Amino acid sequence: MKKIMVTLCLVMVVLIAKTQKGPQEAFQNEVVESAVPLKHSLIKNSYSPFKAKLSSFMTKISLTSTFSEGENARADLSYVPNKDSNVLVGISVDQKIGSTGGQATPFTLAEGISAGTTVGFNFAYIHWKPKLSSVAFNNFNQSADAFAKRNNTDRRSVTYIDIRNNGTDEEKKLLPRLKNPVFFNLSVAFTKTSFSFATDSVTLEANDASYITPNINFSVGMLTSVTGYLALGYSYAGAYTAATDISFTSPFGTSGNFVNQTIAFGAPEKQTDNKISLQWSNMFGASSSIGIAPTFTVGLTSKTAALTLPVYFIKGMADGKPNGLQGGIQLGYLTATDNGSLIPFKDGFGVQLIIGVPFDVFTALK
Amino acid sequence: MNLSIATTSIGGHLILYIIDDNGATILKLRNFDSGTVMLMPGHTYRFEWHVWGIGDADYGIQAIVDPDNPGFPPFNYSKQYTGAHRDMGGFFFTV
Repeated sequence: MKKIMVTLCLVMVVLIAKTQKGPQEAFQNEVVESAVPLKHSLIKNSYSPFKAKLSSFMTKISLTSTFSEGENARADLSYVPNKDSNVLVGISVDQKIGSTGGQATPFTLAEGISAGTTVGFNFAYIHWKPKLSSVAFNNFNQSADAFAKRNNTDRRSVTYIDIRNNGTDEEKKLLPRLKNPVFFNLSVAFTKTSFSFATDSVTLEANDASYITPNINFSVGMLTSVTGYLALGYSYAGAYTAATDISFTSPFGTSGNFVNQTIAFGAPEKQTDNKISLQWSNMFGASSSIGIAPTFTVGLTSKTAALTLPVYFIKGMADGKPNGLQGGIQLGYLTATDNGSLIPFKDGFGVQLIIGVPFDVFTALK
Repeated sequence: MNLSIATTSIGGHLILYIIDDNGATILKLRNFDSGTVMLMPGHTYRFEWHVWGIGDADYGIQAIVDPDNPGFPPFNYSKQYTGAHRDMGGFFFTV
């Protein structure tokens, strides 16, 4: 089995062809990143395709944290405030750490929030009112009566799944359509970034400035089946990008020597993007052996559109046992939308290999 | 007479309704919950519950009428689900 998986991966590598060109590559990377399900466990961190967080409603209050040395540290606090357990509020703190960093300090009394820190607030609500109409329940009752009589079982313990799995065609026809929950999720995050740059080409005096940029995500999703989830979302992101680095050669005092220094010349430039995405995740096949998550994303500010289709079919292994889908391929098409015509398919199409990224239909619910 | 119900839900979501013969919900319980409702003799009620979850879950429902009544023997129900699930159950009863 292991040899087959390795061979399959090698075949996928050979098949990889990235033909996308042009300045939309940065947008495509963002789209791919948001379309591919992220690595988050069921109970801990939960992210929708639109980077909005929908944490578990199972526990009243939960605190989780992760730390990846040299990358980032993150802590999440979630609280279910109501008796019905269908509302969840949360706060998160995430700090990017330098490549040599061994600890995270997101806040200090002297400087306040540290640069590279993101503070987020999340609100999630599950709308679920599954009570059947009188007619629908009467049909279920009739079906359950027949099922219990035929199987000589306790009528009161017969459920919908019992009839769906073991009922006759007549009994199944009477089964009602069940109402599934609808999920609403809103997250607002603020990130602090710091820049050092020069604006005077004579003195090259360094200016230090800090900026706080928002990131807003809103999504609405619903179960389409036990193994399917459909979500529509909107996201707004703001960021500052540093000016181009320029090398300057300056006299070094009165020594007659020169010193060379590279400085970002010019103030950082603010960039914003608005995106709307529609994603449907589902699993198919025996033992849910195939998972897909087609996503259509439109960049309103960047004037681009992307269609991605990750297909998971490679199962991961843990302790010698399969532990879910962990890899596959992602097909994608990216095009500009500002000139009224689409980029030729061969120019906008790309294939990527997915390795070690767990697929979960309910990423948006976790 | 009174109908007392206790529900448990681990890993999933549960809603339970007691509905009178006019279609009105006279009791609604969610997840870990309990409640008591008064029943009128000769009336038919609907006992209906729904569950869903995105992973393994364990549910329990315990219901009893006080004083004892042949129209509603004590109900002690439990079920475990493996993986994502959506299910429901229910029945009519007359005390």
